[in-house]
Amino acid sequence: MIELIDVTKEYGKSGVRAVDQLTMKVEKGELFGFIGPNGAGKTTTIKMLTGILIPTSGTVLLDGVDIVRDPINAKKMIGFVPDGADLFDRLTGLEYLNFMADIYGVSAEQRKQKMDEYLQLFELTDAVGNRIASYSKGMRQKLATIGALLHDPTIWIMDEPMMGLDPKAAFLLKEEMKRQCAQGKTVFFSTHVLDVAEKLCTRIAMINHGKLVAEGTLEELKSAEHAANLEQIFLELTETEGAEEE
Amino acid sequence: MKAFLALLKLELSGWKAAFSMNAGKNQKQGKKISRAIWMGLLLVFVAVYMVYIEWTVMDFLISVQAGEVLLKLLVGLSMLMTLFLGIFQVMSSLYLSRDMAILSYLPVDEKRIYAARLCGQWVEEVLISALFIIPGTVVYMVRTSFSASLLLRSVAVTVLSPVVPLCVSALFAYLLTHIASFWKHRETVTTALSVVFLIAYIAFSYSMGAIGGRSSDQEAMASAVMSIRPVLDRLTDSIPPVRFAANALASGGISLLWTLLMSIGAFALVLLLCGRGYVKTAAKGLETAVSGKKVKLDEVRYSEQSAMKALVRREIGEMVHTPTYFINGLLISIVMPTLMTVLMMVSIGGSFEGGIGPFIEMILQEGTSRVVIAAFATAMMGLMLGMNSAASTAVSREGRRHGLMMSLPVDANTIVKSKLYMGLIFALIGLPIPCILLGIVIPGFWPYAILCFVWASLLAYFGTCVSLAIDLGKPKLDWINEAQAIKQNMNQLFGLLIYIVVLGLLAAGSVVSLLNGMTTTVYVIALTGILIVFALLSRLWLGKRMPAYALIES
Repeated sequence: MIELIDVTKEYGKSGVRAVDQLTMKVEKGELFGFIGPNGAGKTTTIKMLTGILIPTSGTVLLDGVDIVRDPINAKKMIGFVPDGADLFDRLTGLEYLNFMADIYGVSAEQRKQKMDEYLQLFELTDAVGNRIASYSKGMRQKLATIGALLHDPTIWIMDEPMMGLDPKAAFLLKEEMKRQCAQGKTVFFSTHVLDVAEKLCTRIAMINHGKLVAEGTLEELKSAEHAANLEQIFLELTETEGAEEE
Repeated sequence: MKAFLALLKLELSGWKAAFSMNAGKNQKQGKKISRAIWMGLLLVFVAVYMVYIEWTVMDFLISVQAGEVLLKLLVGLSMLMTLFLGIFQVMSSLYLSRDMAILSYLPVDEKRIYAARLCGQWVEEVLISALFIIPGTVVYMVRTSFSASLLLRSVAVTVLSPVVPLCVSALFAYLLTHIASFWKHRETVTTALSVVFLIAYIAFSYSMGAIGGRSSDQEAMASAVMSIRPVLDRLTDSIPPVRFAANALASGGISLLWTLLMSIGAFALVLLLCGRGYVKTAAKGLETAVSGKKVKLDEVRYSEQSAMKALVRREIGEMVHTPTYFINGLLISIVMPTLMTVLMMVSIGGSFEGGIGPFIEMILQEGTSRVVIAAFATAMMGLMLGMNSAASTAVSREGRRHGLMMSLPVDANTIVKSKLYMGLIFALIGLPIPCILLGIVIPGFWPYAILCFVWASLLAYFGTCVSLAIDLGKPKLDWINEAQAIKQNMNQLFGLLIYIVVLGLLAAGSVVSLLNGMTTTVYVIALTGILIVFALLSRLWLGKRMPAYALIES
C-alpha cells in the first residue's frame, strides 16, 4: 500500500512548489495510473515515493513504513523502473542484474529462476552478455524492468514505463503488471499514454501544477466530469486549471 | 557563425558551472560565501605557487648569468605540456564524448562542430599556458626591468602558443581513434594506446630530468644550465613553432607574426584533415562492441555477494572500463608515484656527488640520511595523491544515475564507503612499485622502503577522505559527457589545495625539526603519529559528511 499524506516539495529559495499538499492512497492489488501534463510534478512525486527526494513536508508511507524515517526497509519493498532508464552503461546486462540482485539480497536460486523467467519473457536473453551501452532504449527499459522485479517487490513503481517499448514488449509489460496486481502487489506508474491508463488501471489520479485534480476509477472520473473518455477529462481539467491561472 | 558560437558556448558551459558559486538547489547564503572564499583561496594558492617556482628558477638562472633562458623555458615547457597532455584531453573531449549522439543530428556542418570542440579545448589550453607564461613574465620583469610591450607579448604568446601543439595532439587523437576502430574491443585498445603514449611521455620526462637532475652546487648548476641550454636551443631551433613563439615572447616583431600565421595555418590544416568525417570518426570511438557469443543462462553460475562488495565492484569496473576516467584519473594515480620517485632518485643520485646545501648535506650523514630520503621519497610519491580523481569525482560521476543509486535499499554511509574503498584502492595501487624500486636501488633501504609505503599509504588515506568529502558537498551531476565529469570539476582542485597545504606543513615541520637536531627515531614516531592523526581526522570529517549523500538532489 502506498500512502501520501499532505506531501509538498519545494525547490530553491524561491519556494517553487513542484508538488503541493498531495494526499492519496493506493491500496494493495491496485494498478494505479498517475497522469498529468509535462512538468505537473509526476516525476517529483515518484522520486519522493522511491526515496530519491525528501519531501519538504508531509509523509510518504509504503506498507506503513515511512520512507524518510526508515528508508532502507521502505526501499526494500519497492521495485523501481526510472524514467529514461539511465543505467550503468559499462556493465553488461547480466552484470547489472547480478548487481541489483546483490543489492536487494536475492539468493542465487531466486535470481536464477527470476532471470531465466524474465529474460525469456522480454526476449533479452541474446543481448544480456553485451554492455548496456550497446542497448536500444527499449532494451534498457526491459532490463530496468527485470532488475526491478528480481527481488519480488510488493510495490512496483514505474516512471513512464511504456517509453521506447515496441508493441509486443508493451503488451508483455502490461500483462506482467496485471499479473503482479493479481498476486496482491501494488503497481504504481506514471504515463502520458491515456489509452493505456484507461484500459489498464483500476484507479487513476491526475496531477496538475503539483496538485491532485482528480482521483478515482475511470467510471467515477467520467461521471464526475461528465466526459466520455479519459482524454476529454484530461483536456478539460488541465485546460480549466490553465484558464483559472490566466 | 552563429551555430559555431552556440556550439563553442556549449563547450565552455561546463566551465561556467564549475566556477559557479551555486552549491545546489537548496543552497544557503553561508555556503555560497564559503565556496567563494575557497575559490579565491585556490586562485591565490595557484598564483603564489607558480610565482614561487618561477622566482626560484629565475634566482638560479640569474646566478649563472642566464636570466634570458627563463622566457625560452616558459614557452618551451608550456608548448610541450600542451602537446603531450593535449592528446588525452582531445581524446576524451572530441572522441569519447557521449553527447556526440546529440551533436551529430544537428543540422550543422561537422567541420563547424569539430572547430567548436577544438576551440573549446584551445581555451582550456590557453588557461594552462597562462599559468606558466604570465607569472613567469611578471617574475622576469621584476627581476630585470619592466616592459609594457613584453607584458602584451606575453598575453599574445599565451593565446597563440598552444594552437600548434594542440593541433598536433588532435592529429594524433584522430589517428588513435582510427587505429582503435579496427579492433572489436576498441575502448580497451584506445586505453592501451594511451598507456603507450604516456609511457613515451614519461621516458621523455625522465631524459629531461636526467639532464637537469645532476645539478648540485653553483658550479654544477651552471654546468647543468650549460647542458640544458643546447637541448633547449635544439628544441627551439629545430621546431619552428617553438622557435617563433619563444622569439615572439622575447622580442616580438616578425616572430609574433609568424606565430600567428602558423597557428592559423595549423588550425586550418587540422580542420581540413580531421574536421571532414568528424562525426563518423567520433562515432567509431563511441561504438560499443556487441558480442556475437550468446550467454547460455543454464551455464551461468550465480553467486551472492554483499551489497558493499557489489557496490565496490561496480565503482572499480566503471573506472577501468571508461577510457576517459582511466586516461584522466587512474593512469595518473598509478604512474605518477613511480615517475616522481624515479625523478627523485636521479636528483638525489646526482647530489651524492656534490651536495646542494645543508639539507642535502645532512642526507649524506650516516644514520640520518635513510630516514630523510624515506620522508622525501614519501613526499615525492605522495605529491599527486591529493589529486585522486577516482575519489574526488566519485559522487559527481554518478550523473543522471544518482536517482537510481538513491532508490536502492542501501544507506548513504554504505554507498559513500564503497566509494572510499574504490578511491583507496586506486590511491594505493601506485605505491608498491616505487617502494620496491627504492628498496632495490638504494643499498640497505628495505626497512625504509616499507616505512615509505606506510607513510604514503597514510597520506593516500588522508587525500582520499578529503577528496571524497569535498565531492560530497557539491557534486557536479549535470555533466553531458564523461570528460566534463572529470575535468570540469573544481572539487578535485579544492581537495588538492588542502592536501598540498598539509604536505607543505609536514615538509616544513620535517626540515625544521631535523635541522634542529631531532633524532631519527623520534622523527619517525612523530611523523607516523601525525600522519595517523591526519588520516583519522579526515575519516572523521568524511564520516560526518556521509549523511549528506542522501540529501543530494538531482
